[in-house]
Amino acid sequence: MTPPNILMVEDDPPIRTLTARALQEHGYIVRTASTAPQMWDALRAAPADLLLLDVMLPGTSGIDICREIRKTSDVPIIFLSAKGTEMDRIVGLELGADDYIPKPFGVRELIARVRAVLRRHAIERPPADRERGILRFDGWTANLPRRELTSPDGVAIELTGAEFDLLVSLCDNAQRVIARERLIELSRTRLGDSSDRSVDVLISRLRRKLSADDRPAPIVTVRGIGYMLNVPVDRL
Amino acid sequence: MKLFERRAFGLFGQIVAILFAAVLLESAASTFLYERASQFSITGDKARRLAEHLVLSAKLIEEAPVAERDTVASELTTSRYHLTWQERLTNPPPVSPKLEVITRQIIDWEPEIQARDLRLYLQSPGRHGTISGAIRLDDRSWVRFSARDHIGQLDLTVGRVLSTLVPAVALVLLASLLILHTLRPLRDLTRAAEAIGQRDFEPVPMRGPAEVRKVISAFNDMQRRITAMIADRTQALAAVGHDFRTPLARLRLRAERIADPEVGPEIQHDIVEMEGMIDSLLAYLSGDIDQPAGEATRSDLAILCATIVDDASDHGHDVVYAGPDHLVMAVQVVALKRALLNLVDNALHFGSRVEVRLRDAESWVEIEVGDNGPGIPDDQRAQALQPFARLDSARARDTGGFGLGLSIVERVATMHDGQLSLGISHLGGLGARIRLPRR
Repeated sequence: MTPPNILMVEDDPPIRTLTARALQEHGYIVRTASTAPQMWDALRAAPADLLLLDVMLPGTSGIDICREIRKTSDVPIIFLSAKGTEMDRIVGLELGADDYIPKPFGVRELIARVRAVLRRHAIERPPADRERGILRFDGWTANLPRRELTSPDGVAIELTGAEFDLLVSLCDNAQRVIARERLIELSRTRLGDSSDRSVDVLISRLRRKLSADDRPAPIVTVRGIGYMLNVPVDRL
Repeated sequence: MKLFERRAFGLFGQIVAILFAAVLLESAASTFLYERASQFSITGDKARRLAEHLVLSAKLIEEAPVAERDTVASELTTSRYHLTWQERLTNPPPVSPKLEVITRQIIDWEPEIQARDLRLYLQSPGRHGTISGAIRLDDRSWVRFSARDHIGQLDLTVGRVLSTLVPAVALVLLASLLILHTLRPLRDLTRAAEAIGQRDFEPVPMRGPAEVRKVISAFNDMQRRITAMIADRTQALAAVGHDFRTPLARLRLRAERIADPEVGPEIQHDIVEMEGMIDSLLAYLSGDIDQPAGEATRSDLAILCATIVDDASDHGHDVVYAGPDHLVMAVQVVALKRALLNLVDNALHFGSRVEVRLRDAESWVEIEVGDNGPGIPDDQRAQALQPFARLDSARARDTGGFGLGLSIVERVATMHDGQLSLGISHLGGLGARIRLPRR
């Protein structure tokens, strides 16, 4: 199996070199471009498995490039940007980027996110399935790009990153029992520095946050095996 | 009133106009009062006594020789009626109104007086109500007389006091309304000056006298310049903060390649600290702390607090949450989360144990972030809320920020019509409380 092929578009030479080197050291094949035209040339020469795209590029913005690429291709895109505000993050993700890494970032975080995006992309084929960004279950709504959870009453519910990832893993395997070991593995993929809390603690927090006065959270414990989301999930 | 708004009369012109209106009204009122004097009447009894006294006196003086007439006149003078004899008639006081009704009353009783050319005047209206007058004798000399207390005893006192008071009061009212109107643009200006720096630039409407318009115009220009200057500086500062991130990003990637197991992590720690400073600076400068990004979202505050606590405790800190499981309220959730993160970060910086408490009262909700650190002395708490605050040199070092944390929190509280107060936590350190009104 050939290692994933990453195309990185970044105008700052030192960052370009340093990041490329870090990725190569983790086994990825990296090509670099410093402008949008160079990127198009590189893409014509050979397809990429993942794009690392700087938002602030001379000439064209990374957001415009992302919009352009999404017209024809489904390649995973991760934004790199010095703009770290919530709004930029949301704009980028809603345009169809897969993740957003604010600068400055550490190598561990970068590798973890690249790995998670590639993994998600491999699982979620065929491409039509990628359109989904919103999960509905038992009245609850989880917006994946925004990482937001809304209760059946329309109330915004804040979750930690690890809790949200765990919930998504449960949704991905709705109405099936997932072993605790598998859940640990799944929830570890996203962030390198993800919490080392036990799955049991995260599950009990999720239950508390997803419970209302009149009804319990739709998560059941299967003794000795693992956990299960016991309601169907609709993907929009 | 529209006239004043459309055309810029000078302040001088307006005051002259006000005075002119006042004088006009005053003279109109007096004229009216004197006009009414001619309608004054006295009781029939008094008219009769006055008539009889006049006829009698006239006859007695007529009969006396010219040399003795003065003496006779003074002999006929009583406490009520004063008489003098004059060879020729001197002019009556210029503004004495004629008393036509009373004249008619007297003539009705003693028709003989009509031939004597009776003239009656009201002397000093509004005071004693003295009637003065003159009648002609056969040899064309005159007897002047004045009768005290005739009109003063009439039931006109209240009416006359009122009729002098009413125009005066109306005059004062009208004048104050006009002056108030003239000064209104100045009050607008005052209000605008007070609002500088508290809300966005809003030009003061151009109206009022020419002098005031000039001041307003100058003020608007000044306000525009100040706003532009602040915007420029803010933009420059934000750009600098923003540009720092690129070299920081390089530095961070480079630091990871440092082989020395001690130096590498230390540099990483410094970089994280610098990142924090830039983040707080950009958050402080960005509009979304000042102006809500959109409608308030119904959010579960209890879960928000619990999640912030969970996140901190997942990173190995001793942070606990105390409060209800659920509490739904409409808030600016991004801003509020930022504020709570600031408070928790701050608490963790100075203390080792932190507790986030949520209290729910009928009209407000209070979130307290308390720590077991050294706290802030009473007299320095207000200062701690100032942007770029540095309390004392010992505390200031290594705070991991520009001292913007608490001022950001305060602005977020204000955005929700709430307030931030600093006190003592039950853990012994600082207790920062955000109180939000329930809506």
